[in-house]
Amino acid sequence: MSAATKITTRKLVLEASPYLFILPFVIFCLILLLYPVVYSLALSFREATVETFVSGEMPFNGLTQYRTALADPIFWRALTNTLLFAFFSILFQFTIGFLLALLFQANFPWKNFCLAALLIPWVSPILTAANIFKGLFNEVGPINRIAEAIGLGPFPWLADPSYALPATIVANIWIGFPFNFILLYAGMRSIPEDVYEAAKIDGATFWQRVGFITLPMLKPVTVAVLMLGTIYTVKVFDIVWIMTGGGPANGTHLLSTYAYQVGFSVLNFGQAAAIATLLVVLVLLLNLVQFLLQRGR
Amino acid sequence: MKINTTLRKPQFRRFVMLASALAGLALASARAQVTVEVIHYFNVEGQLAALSEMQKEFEAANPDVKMKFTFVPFGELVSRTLQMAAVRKPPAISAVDNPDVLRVAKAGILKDISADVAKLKVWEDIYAGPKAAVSEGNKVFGMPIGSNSLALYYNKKMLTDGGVASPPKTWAELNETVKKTTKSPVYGISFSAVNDEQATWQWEPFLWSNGGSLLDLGSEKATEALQLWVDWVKNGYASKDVVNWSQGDVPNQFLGGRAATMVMGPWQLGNVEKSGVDFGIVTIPVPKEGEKPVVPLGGEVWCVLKGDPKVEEAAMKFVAFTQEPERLRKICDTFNYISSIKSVAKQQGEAKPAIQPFVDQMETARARSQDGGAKYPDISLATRTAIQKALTGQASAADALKEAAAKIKEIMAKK
Amino acid sequence: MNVIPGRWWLTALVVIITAVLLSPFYWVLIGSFMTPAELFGVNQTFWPRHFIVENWSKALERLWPHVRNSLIVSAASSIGTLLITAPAAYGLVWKKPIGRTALSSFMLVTQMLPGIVFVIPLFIVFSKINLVNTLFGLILADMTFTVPFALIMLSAYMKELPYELVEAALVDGAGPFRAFLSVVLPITLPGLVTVGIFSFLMPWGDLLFALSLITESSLQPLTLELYKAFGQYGIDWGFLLPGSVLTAVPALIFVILASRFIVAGVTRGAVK
Repeated sequence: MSAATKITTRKLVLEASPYLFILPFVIFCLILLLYPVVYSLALSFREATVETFVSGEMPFNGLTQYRTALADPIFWRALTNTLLFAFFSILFQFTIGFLLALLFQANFPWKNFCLAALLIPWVSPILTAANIFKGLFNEVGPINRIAEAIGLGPFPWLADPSYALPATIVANIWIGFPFNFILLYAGMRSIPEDVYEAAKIDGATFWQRVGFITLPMLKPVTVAVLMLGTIYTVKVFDIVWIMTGGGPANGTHLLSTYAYQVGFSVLNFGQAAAIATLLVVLVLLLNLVQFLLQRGR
Repeated sequence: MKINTTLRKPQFRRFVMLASALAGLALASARAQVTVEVIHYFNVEGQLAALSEMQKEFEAANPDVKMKFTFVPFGELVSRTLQMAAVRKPPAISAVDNPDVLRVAKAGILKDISADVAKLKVWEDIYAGPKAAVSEGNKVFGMPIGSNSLALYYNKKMLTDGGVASPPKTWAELNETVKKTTKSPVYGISFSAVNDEQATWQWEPFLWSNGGSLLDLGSEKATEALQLWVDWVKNGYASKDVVNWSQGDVPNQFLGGRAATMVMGPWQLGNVEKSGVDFGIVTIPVPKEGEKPVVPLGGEVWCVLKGDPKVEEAAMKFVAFTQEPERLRKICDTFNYISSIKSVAKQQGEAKPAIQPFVDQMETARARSQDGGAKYPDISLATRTAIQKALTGQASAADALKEAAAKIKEIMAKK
Repeated sequence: MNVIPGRWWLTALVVIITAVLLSPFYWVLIGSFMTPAELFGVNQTFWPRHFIVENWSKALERLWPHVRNSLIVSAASSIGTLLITAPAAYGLVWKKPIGRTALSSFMLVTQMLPGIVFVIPLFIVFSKINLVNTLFGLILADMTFTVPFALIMLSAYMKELPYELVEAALVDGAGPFRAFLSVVLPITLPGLVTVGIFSFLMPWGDLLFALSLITESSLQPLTLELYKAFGQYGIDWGFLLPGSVLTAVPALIFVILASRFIVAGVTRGAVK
């Protein structure tokens, strides 16, 4: 082989190298993930209930199930709940995570241990976490006891939709902040020390350093964390399902729990698929909004 | 003669031996193992022990059958059954909760075992309620394993402290009891009105004893029955949290000393006995003196699925096996069931007087799927939405029920 | 690790914050020693009146056989994910090959699919290719979630990389692979370890895929066994509470051990 061919082959291998690792898996992912997506989409256009599902018939019924969903008042309630849930969860999760990450940039004794300890909410099985909060927000649970003690009277937390949704948001914040915390922390860790040193010498205060160095250098990580955070939060299912079951009177349903109820309690798989698809559309829209906002900066 | 000499030749003898050996092998493989897979959601230690005992005994009596018990979480059983049938790998038996039987049957995957159950001794002795739960016309889609229902447990001490002489028999007495025993932090009564089947199930005794029906929620009788609940919550005799309590939370209240009475089934009897609370059980109070309580039926059903005929046969053998009276009695005792068979239930009541109220109620107990057949789960959903709306004050009992009634009319109108 | 004297006030602050943030977990700990009646009963105290240790011994007995399954699935998912995604992320960010936006977008979309979308199709597909009730099948299913996540996060961490360092190494005569190993990996180590930790923790806590794919009791991971606390009669708190702590413990140990790699920072000088 001539030297020139050697270099071109080498270049080709280099060009292809990222794909060499990931392509086989991408193909697998495509099959394994595309199938559910296509299946679910197909299901949303067919009447798939107990009777038709097993036989495989599932007559095509076009947009009927989408029309039903959009005409359903519970669907809109669930949509509003989902947006509120996502907004407040992410707001607090990110802020708490970010502040903690900043705090942990310094060195201090027991740092390792505390770091790991703060991951507990995320590491605990979601079933447990959801039930913990179900117990905490119980009519006679600790939160009401503390509230009474400081004179704020007991609240009908889970018995009233207007209180129940915030309760689930609090639970979700507790479960999710470590995710933001650790990912942001690792991102901050990769910012070299000397950049901060230089700024300190130039007389920048702590918050100025944060604003002018940390935030900009952290941008890719921040964007990724917010994006994933949004996606994951909108998908949240277990927490609400366990704490309220979507009730009382369908008042705390998120799109995810409503889809589940329609699919597995009522066994109308087609309708559930339609709701789930609308959920994905919502997520796509939210991400698009985030993307555009980030571009604009 | 040629034939005689052929028969005596050693090669011929060897051939015969080989042929018979092969024939024997063929016969043996024809009697090869059949695996009967049973999917269920039983997860209490006692129940699982009973299942493995059943397995051992049955396999010993039927060496060509292998039993396999697969646990599936409670909420997933029906959909898992459907999915397995959809991929053409159905289980042999699915232990379906009785209100779901007719709905699963609608998918066309359950075997009609009317011919087989007619051969069982116990079939003639079965209560009307369980029979209705598994029958559609002349077809029978399952054999009830056992039944249960709801009754009123009461804390003797709290009643006497409240000045209630005897446990309530009528609604008027029940309201009195509940009022007199409510003393912060104790509530007069606790029940489950959570956003799933449990709410409908717990309300049905009151609806049906008052002569109401899920198919006619707009009626006065339905409103009265729901108003009963609404008043309790409004007046503080029952906690607002009932809309969030499942049937697992309710005993915690009763046993923890937070409720004077609870609407509960026989499966908690063991726990209540262990707890040391001085308790009693009575049948569900009725609206007026002399009427009979009508309670919903609980309990699971052995449903045989359509599939390989050999597997179906073995599965049916297993079902028949569990229905032999003595074994049935043992199963019902371990699973906290009241037997669906009259004679066995009577024996249970005699052996343990505490469950006699449940046995008594079996006479008039009603299968939930009688209200709407395969559409029962949808009807239940509309009903519990109404219950929750009324209990949380979002609508009056009458309005909430009217809304539900309209929805149910729609559901029933669909094919 | 450097322990700078006089920073104890910081530790104190962090400990207080941690305690506040973790307070719900206290309820789990004390509750795991109580009977359900005491847990929800009238005279609730902040300390159990009797210590019911059987809750713990029973829970341990039930969960122990499943630790192995969870460990295998989580470890394999984590390692597999890192091996596949780290080089890919690096290549995607710095080599900018064609089709990378399509790939990143696809990965992002897969993260958006709500779990319910997977339940039935996954069961059907895996039934047909006979991967139901195998740990390998579960690992693959989990990786379909962790790999896109890892690719997104690692791409972000790789973007933070000061590329001049890699160029310097290349100029010094190192091959691209060598540069990757000796320059990129050490600098992005915090990111790598973090992603590795999450790729371990996600399958550890996964219920959905395990529920859809594993019915064989001996192959069930911890989460499925814990889910049995939700019976038809209500929640078995006596199993759920200690079980939850026990389920979380191995994961926590892993995190503590791995976290020292995140905590370590890097300065430009050190690399030179």
